[in-house]
Amino acid sequence: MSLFGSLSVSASGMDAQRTRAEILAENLANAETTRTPQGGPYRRKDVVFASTTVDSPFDSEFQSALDGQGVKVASVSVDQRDPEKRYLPGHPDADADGYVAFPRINPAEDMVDLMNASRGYQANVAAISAVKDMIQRSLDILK
Amino acid sequence: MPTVSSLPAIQNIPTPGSLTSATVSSSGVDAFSSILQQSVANVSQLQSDADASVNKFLTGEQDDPHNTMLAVQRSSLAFDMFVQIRNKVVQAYQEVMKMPE
Amino acid sequence: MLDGLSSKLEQYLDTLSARQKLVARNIANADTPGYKTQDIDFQSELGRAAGSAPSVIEPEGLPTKNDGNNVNLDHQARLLAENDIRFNIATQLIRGNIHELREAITEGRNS
Repeated sequence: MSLFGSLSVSASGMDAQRTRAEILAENLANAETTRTPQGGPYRRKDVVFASTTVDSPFDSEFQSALDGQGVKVASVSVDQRDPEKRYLPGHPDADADGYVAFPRINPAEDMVDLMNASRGYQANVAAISAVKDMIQRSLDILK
Repeated sequence: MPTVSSLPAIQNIPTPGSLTSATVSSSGVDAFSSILQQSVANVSQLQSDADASVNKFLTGEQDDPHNTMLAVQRSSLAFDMFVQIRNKVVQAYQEVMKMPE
Repeated sequence: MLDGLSSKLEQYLDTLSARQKLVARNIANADTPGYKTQDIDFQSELGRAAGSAPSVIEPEGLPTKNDGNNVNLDHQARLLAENDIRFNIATQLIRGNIHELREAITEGRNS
């Protein structure tokens, strides 16, 4: 059992939520991007979380059910749907029929997601703080 | 008859070397020496428990700090108790030795 | 000598510490698809022998989101604070006991 290992678990949570927030911020920043270096409009990205075993530097071969099961970003999926088409004939990126391809992004949704990612991040920070406090209280037993 | 001087030497525990039952043979000293023996055995056990706990902590087998801290405190308290007992025993022996024949 | 008082408290600390690790795990996985909230099995906790590891269960009946995750972040955050406070109380009690014993042993003076 590893109280120190749980610090690594929380750190993995912070990492994952931060990555998620970065991806969401990228989506929001590019909500209207019609032209990318790869050609075509920006395609929305999404993170996929998965549970993972987290290694702590102090781990030993004595594993138990309570050992570090943190989280990681398993993959970043890119929206494969056809882009949204809007009729804007004067637009520099308009095609032959006057349609411009826009990213399929709902900014409101991604804003809410971003807030959730932030909340999740802060919860992990609180967990690290609480566990650290408990470790220090344990040391106080010797006083 | 167990003698105090035949107690096994235990690391870090001072043996009450000044007390030998060769010179004092009243039954009171037997009682003293068995209290001491018990106390020494207890301290020795708790000290090795504490050592084992610290080891587990270092190897990561058991790294909840509170278990290790408690083991160390138990062993420390037992040692303090042993020191007190030893002091009392030595004091009592000295009292006995002062008594006229 | 220390057995009566401290072993109950020590077991309590073990339980709290185990629970806190699970809370940390739940919080880290609050957004992991398919992840189920984990907790200590308190039923078996009462009868558990000292020194053995507490058993982990997945509580039933928690509201589940579309992706199969059932972690309630607010609830876990509350548990986090509660475990911390209880741990603090228990360690304070243990310290009090140890000081009392030491006073009694050394009769208030250092030998």
